Amino acid sequence: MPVLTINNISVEARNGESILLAAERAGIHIPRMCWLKDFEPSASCMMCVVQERKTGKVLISCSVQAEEGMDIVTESAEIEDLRKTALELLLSEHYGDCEAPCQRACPAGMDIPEVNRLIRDGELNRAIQVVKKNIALPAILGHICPAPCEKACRRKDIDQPVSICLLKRFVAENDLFGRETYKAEMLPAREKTVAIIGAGATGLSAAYYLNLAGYGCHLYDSAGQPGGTLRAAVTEGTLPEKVLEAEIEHILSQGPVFHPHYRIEATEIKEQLAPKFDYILYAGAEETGIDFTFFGTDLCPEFKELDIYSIRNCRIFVPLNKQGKNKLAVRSVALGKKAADWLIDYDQQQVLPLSKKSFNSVYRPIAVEEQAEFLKEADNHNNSINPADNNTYSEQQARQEAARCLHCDCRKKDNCLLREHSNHYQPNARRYRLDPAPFVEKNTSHPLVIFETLKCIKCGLCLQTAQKEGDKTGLCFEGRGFNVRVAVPLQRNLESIQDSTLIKCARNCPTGAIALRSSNLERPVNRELFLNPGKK
Amino acid sequence: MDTDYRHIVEQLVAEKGTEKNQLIPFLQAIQNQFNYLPAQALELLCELTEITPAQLSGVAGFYTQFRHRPAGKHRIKVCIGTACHVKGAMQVYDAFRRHLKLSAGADTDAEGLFTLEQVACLGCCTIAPVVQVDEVTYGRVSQNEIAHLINDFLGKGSTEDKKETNLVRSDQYKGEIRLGLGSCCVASGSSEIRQTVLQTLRTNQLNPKIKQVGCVGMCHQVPLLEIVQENRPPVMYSKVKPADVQEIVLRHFRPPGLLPKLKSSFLQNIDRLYSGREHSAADERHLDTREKPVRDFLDKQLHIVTELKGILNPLDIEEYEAGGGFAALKKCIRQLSPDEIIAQIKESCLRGRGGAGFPSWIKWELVKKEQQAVKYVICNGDEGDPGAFMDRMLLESFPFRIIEGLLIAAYATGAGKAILYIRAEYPLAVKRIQEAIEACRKRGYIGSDILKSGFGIEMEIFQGAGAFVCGEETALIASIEGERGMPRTRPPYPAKKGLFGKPSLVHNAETLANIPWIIRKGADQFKAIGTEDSCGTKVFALAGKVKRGGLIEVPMGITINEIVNDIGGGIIDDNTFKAVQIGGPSGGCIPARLGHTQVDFKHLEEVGAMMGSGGLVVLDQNDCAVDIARYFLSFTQDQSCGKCVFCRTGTKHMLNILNRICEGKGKAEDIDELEELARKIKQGSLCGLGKTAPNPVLTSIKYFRDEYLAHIEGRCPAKKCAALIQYSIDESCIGCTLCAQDCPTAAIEQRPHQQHYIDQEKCIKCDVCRMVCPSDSVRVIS
Repeated sequence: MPVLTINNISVEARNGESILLAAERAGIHIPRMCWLKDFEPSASCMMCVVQERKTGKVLISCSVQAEEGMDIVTESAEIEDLRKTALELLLSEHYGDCEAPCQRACPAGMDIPEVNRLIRDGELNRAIQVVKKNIALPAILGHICPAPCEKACRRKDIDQPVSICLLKRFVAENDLFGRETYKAEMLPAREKTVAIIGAGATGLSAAYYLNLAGYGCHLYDSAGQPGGTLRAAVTEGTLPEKVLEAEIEHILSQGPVFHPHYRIEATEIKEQLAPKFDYILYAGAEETGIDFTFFGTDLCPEFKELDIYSIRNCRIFVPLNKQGKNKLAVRSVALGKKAADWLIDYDQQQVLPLSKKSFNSVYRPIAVEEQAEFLKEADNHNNSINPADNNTYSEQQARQEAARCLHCDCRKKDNCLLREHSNHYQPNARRYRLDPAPFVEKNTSHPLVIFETLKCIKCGLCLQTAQKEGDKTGLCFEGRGFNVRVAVPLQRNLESIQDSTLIKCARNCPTGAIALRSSNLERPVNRELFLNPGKK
Repeated sequence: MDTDYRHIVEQLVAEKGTEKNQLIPFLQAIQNQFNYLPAQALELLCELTEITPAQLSGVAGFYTQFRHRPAGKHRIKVCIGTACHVKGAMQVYDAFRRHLKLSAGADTDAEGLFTLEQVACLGCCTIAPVVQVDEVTYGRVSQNEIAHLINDFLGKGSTEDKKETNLVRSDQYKGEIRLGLGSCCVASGSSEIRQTVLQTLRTNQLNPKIKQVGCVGMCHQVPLLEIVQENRPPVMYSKVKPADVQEIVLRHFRPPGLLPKLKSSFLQNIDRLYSGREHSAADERHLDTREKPVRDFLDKQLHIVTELKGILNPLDIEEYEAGGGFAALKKCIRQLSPDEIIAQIKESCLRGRGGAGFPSWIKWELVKKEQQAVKYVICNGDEGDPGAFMDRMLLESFPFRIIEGLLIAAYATGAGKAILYIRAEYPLAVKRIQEAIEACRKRGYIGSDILKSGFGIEMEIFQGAGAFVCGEETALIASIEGERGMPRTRPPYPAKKGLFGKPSLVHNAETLANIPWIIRKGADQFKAIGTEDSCGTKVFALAGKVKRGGLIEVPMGITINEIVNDIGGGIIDDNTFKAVQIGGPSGGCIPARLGHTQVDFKHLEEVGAMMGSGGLVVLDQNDCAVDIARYFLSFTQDQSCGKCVFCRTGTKHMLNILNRICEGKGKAEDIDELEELARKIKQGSLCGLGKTAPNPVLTSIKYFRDEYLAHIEGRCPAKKCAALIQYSIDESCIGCTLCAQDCPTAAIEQRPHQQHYIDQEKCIKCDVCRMVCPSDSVRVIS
């Protein structure tokens, strides 16, 4: 059995084993995208390239056999650069959005298309779960949010945007005033406490997520009631008091304690709160005018969105709410969630936050020629629906409106290897571009999957999957070279492939080229509904 | 209709069986039948055989040979190989498109009479540009003669009688008339010459033997006709025209009896009167091998794989034997053990001639070592290099030599099965090899008990379906297995796990053709030729802007200058020698100032090129370095199999950048971007195709960076790149109106006896006006 060196570690490989597998058994992970255990190596994506130390020769570790005496380096500047370029090349023929434009525009980053799909399908209980992943106060925002998402909605280029904000309000109020309000699963208590200064949108939001993560939360506010500037909206008449009270009450009912009439100033924080709490999260308005330098030096000067100070055993988190004059409640809500996440990461993994944006493939504005392609999954018979007099959708209206969504997002945005690697290597997705760029193609002819050829990296894992399944039709590569694409052979349609095969293909596809329409497979599939969206 | 398909497919299945690996032969047969692949027939094929839909569609869509829509009655193939490219093949192609009125995306004219296609290389580089209409090949085609060419083709019709026979029995032959019948010769009209020779012989009751000989290599002089008479030196005539034949023949052979003689001289005189010839055509065409140019062309050459060229009838097995053929095989089987043979090959230092130059004996040793019942030897004749035709010529002219090499390799490695993989684009080579295999079988060289030694071998031909990447050995193997020609990672090497998982020895046709000579003459003699690291000779297809192009075999270590100036006779029209493009799409562009570079594996690599398969295209000052780089890259980009990202996508972006530069839209940083991408493609590609694809671009940047910069500034110094040039007519115009008559876009108004002008808006830069102008008044400016 050959013995080789990988990253200075001596590794014994099995006969005929690839470098990648030999490394894997020695606990060394080599990045890969088109490689799957027990599949023939595709040797296509080139993420798994490694280098031989002496010769500098680049080897494709997924398919080159480990040989006696090899001296392999799996990470080097040159290799990293090569992987990055491979990603840039793959992205040059990758057309589509990771997150939909609406989600990117939403300061809180709500997964809007997924919520729309769930509303359309009448799965309101699941819809509120998705909403609350990012937004702690959806009913309130449903009334006062200026909805930047709707300005980004691609549907507005065809007729009118989807009424995202109203849909969110519908889902949230339906939940808040329904029989049983959704309570997210709480993690076990952590014996750690956080003092949150300011019980406005930011503080409430942070309290909601910290509480869920098992932290004991105490909200301190100079006012007698929680809500901060949100109360102004009640006064102005844009936000029904009932909604405000109910939503705040719902948060507080789950654990966070509210302390009214608290005098917010530096010495007070330092002397009274710091000794009692593990963390202090400052979620007050900027104009309160506390000079934080009083607490010492910032622990993460590199990171511009947050300062952290240290007083003995207490850490003070000061998220920098750079909203300027144009204050958006949704930004405050988003900031509260972000601050909670930073705090949790810091507490549990001892990591300081980094300003690293997650990678997003961004598609250009849709051309007239491709409107039809985008409308394939949408109900295209309606302009946006106006709600009834009380400004709230009925369930039927909501489902109809949600069905207008174009589903610009990628179904696999959260489990796409191309995106994952891009997050790591930070390629410039626009470095190489095709001119003219092709139009998006969506194959929506199958009730279970969406097939988007322009997201395919041509690795052939789906072909192998179908072959392993013994599928009578299977999938094939059509054409060759740059024009190669995955297709159903003999010009048959996707329906001629077995459901079970396609589900496996979607799971094995490293990108969103073949993706399940719905993440929830247990749900019985209504073929009729899928093939005719919006039809009742 | 459906029953028709069923009947035909059932018949094919009965012939070929139901195995998956028969897919490519099946598709070829179906296409032969319908001239494309009808969907119904393909469905039936899946139904009746083990072939799966996924395999079928994948393969049918991979190879360029296969058509998915019906073709016209006749097929026009415009060769866009390197030699044709530098001589204006794209302008010819565009002219055909205009003539046939093809709209964008269409390849067949409205009447369904002609289908127009581009073909990577027809292997007739010396008579470029070349166009093939069905079986008829036209050389030196010009874009202003398209209508004429099509009329000529349509006029040929059924008059072609290919089944004429000699009138005289063989024992009465007096003397020999040798006619070259390689593809170049045929393309330049040698079959018409043959017809005329036969006609002349019949009319005059003459009886010399007409002998077809393989490629002579002097492709620049085709068609060639050689007269051999007892006790006299042979006389060779070049560029023979049918009208010359009678005089040439009669000069050497006298008609028997008085009457025919009178008749002949009478006809001859009449002919001369009508043709208005003043001097004898025979004198004009006579090529004396003692003359300097011919001597130069031949003297620097050395013939090992092309031994006895121009003398051997390719399919005469007795003649091959008389010239020492099969002596090596006999020696191997009767006197040498496999180990001794491999020792000989090792001693000779033979390296693979397919491009990479891997030492042959190592492969032999590896295959021999494998203890398996089934082993393969494979002759790689999938010559896809768009500027090369060595393999074609060797297969056509020396089929027995290649078979002998293959047999020796099989014997030495213990392989019982041999396959010759030949491009379907080389029908003549396929036919000759087929016939040669038959002849060998009859004579006991192929079969179960060769030369009564107990050693047996089966040999068959596999026709490649048009994919350059199949020249790569693992892709070639995938192709024989009935799959898409996608390379596989090595190791395991084919020697261990090759065709159908069995140990396989894959050798290029030229490599194999060296084997008999080495065994017969001894490794020492072979090693004495060439340089230390590159022994023996190399065959090159010398083409481009050289006076004497052709198929040459030279000792390794010869310099580029010797090839271009001595063998090639220098540059046509006494233009300036600019560079040679050597090694085809994997090779590089070597500038004239490095003309002293020795042609061997080591030195070529040092200057950034490589031996490649043996294309050698000579460029002059009218060739644009950027355009040539773009040409080669567009070839490899088109031929990429699409498996790995660097080759599939990287070459596309390199090509995009080059296109931008050629269109005058380049930016200064584009050159750096090209170099960086090229470097990464070389590092990160899976197989040799991708790893070498950037070479032509890298060498041209290295040696001709100033030209890249000029393009970025909006100039094409060679005046080649259409977007950067303008045509104009100067005051020397005599007002003959020829240009206006021939201009395909009416960009020139007819102004008899006055200076003409070109409307720049309408001009498509097809170069026709410049070609037809009798007063050389058309200027190209950049």
